[in-house]
Amino acid sequence: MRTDDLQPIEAHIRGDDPPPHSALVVRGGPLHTDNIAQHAARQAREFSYQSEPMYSVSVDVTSGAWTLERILSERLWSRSTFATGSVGALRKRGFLLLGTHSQPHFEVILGNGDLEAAATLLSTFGPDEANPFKRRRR
Amino acid sequence: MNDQAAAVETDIPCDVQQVDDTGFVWAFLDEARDPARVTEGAIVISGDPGDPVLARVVSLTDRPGGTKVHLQVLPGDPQDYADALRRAHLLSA
Repeated sequence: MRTDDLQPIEAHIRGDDPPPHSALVVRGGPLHTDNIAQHAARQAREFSYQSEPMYSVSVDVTSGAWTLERILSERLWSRSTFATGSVGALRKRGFLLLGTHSQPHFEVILGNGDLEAAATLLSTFGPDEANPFKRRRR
Repeated sequence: MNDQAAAVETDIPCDVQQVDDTGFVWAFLDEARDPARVTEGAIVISGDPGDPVLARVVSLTDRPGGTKVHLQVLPGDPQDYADALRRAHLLSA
């Protein structure tokens, strides 16, 4: 497959202001490096960024009406666990956040998308927390 | 992960946060355990073994990277559906 065949993500980047350093990046579980790398590899089969396959992971970012509670209850209700990190912490580790598709969705660009990159990303998040909005516990 | 979760096998895994402009989550057909079961309108188990979800297959689209499957995640835990079916005697055990 040629990179030219991928959808440039640039066409899907929103024009809203970058989130402040204090905004929370929210990722639902499972928060394992292999899951993160698997999702990044899937994204790279469909989208490109700057003319290269885009290894990225989807996250939600708090902003305005998209509070943490709303994200957990409306978008992550099926997740037993979640973790948060700050936008500032991700940027400090060199991760690029792109606001794509619809709010509150963002891509975290993950370099070559390998397990090491996934582990570095996960290290910027706090510990796993139980999602109080999970609709049912097993 | 408990024993029940360890035994769960999804029909097609997905990342429930991975959406595109359609607003639906998506995956590639070649990730499915049995791709023949993943047809437009089919109800499948997706998500991941720890937190499975029920989903309806919205569409299958040929893309350069493979056949892209859009999924509509259905509300509620799959166990809720099983409980309702059991109450109605549509599911035994």
